[in-house]
Amino acid sequence: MANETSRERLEKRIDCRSFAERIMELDPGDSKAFQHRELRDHLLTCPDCQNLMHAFWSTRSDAVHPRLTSSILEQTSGGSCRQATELLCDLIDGTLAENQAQLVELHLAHCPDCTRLAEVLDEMKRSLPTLAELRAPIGFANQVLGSLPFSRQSRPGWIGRLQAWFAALPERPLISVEAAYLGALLMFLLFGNPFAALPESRRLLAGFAEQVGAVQLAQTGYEGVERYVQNSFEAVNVATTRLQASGQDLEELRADLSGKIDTYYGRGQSTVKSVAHFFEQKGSNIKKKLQSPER
Amino acid sequence: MDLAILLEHCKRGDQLAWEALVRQYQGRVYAIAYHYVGNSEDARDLAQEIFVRLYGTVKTIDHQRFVPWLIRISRNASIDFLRRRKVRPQSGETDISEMTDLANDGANPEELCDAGLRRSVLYRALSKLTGLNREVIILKEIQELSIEEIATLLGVPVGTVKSRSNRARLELARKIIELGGLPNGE
Repeated sequence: MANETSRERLEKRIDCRSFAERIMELDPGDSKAFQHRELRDHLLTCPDCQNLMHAFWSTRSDAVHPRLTSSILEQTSGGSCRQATELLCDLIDGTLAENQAQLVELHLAHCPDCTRLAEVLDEMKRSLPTLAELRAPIGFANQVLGSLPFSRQSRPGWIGRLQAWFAALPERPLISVEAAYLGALLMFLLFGNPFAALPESRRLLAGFAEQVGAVQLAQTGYEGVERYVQNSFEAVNVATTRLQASGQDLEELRADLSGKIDTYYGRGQSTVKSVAHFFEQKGSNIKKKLQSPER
Repeated sequence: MDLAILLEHCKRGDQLAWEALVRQYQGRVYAIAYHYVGNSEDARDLAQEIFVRLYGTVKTIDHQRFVPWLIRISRNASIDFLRRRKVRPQSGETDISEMTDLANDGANPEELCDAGLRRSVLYRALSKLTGLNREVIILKEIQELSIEEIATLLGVPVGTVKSRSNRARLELARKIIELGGLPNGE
C-alpha cells in the first residue's frame, strides 16, 4: 500500500455516491478507519462529503429530529397513539404481556401525550377507590334511625315476636334451668301428679294418721283447758285461806272473787266450746276428705 | 363486629345491631348516592331512603352477597331518584368542604387540602362523563365490584363491561387532563 503509485490512486478514486454508501466504514472512534485511503482522499477533497461525514457521525439515533419518527409513521403505518392508548389501562393494571408492555413503554418514552394520559390513569387508579366511602353529614345515622319505621312497626306482629323470641332463646343464660323446669312441667301435665301413683293403702294410712293426729290434738286441748280451770280454783282457794289468816273483810273479798270466777269460768267455757267446735269442724272435713273419691 | 353476626342480629330485630350496620355502611351508601345525584342534600335524602328500603329487606340477604347487594339497591334507588326528580348529575354543585372521605382520617390539614382538591377534580371530571361510562367508573373503579357483578347489575355481557371500563377510564383521564390534572397526585 505504501508503494502505491499516483496512477493507481487516481484509478481508485471514488465519487460522492460511493462515499455515502461506505460512510459507515469511517467511524471516527476506530483508529483503523482512515486506512481506507480512497475514502480519506475523497473526504479531503470533497466539502459536501465532509459535511455529510460530520452530520452522520455527530448525530445519534435518539437525537434525530423530533418529528422524524412521526412523519415516517404518518407515511407508513400511521400513528401508534391509538393502539398504545387502548393498551394503557392494561399496562397500568399490569395485565399486559411482557413484550407488549415493552412496546407500549417504548412508545410512551417518545410520546408526551400518551405519557400524560398514563400518568393520570395511574393516579386515578390510586385515587378513585378513596371515594368509595364518604363521611355522611353529622347526625346522618340518627336521622336514618329516626326515619325508620321503628315507632310504627317497631313491634313486629306476634308471629315475628315469637320467632325473634325463639331465635334468641338459646342465648338466655338460664336456658338449662328453664328447660329443666319446662320439662318437669310438661311431664306433670302429661302424666299427672307423681304422688297420685302411690298405692291406695298408703293414701288411706296417711288419712288415718291425719285423723289420729287431730284427735290427739283435740284431747290435749281439752285437757289443757281443764287444767287451767282447776289451777284457777286452786289459786282462789289458796288466796282465800291466806286472807282468812290475815283477818281482812272476807265477805267483800268473796263477792269480788266470786264475780271474777264467774267471769273466768264463762270465758273458759266459751274457750272450751270454741275449741270443741274447731275440732268438730276439722274432724268433719277429714271425714269428708276420706269419703270423697280421689281426684 | 363481623358482618355475618351483625346481619344475623339484624334479622332477629336487634335495633342495636341495625344501628351498627347503618353506621358501618352509611359512608358507602352516601358515597354512591352522592356520585349519582351530585349534591349533598339529595344524597342525604337518597341515602336515608336506601336505608329504609334496606331495613325492609335485610332479612332476606346472605352476608356473602351483602356488599354487592347493597351497592345494587343503592344504585337502583339512585336511578329511581333521578328519574323521579328528573334531575341530572350537576357539575357545579360539588362542595369541597363536604367531601371528607373516610380514607383520609388522621391526615394533616395540608394533606386533607390536597386530597380535597384531588377529589374536586375527580368529581368534576366524573360529572362530565356519559351516563354509562360514569356508572361503570362508580361501580368498578370506585366501589370495586367485579366485572361479572357489574355485568349482572347492568344486564350486559361481561366483555361489554370490560371494554366499556377501559373506555370509561380513558374518557375520565382525558377529562381530568382538560381540567388541569390531579393536583399532588402522590
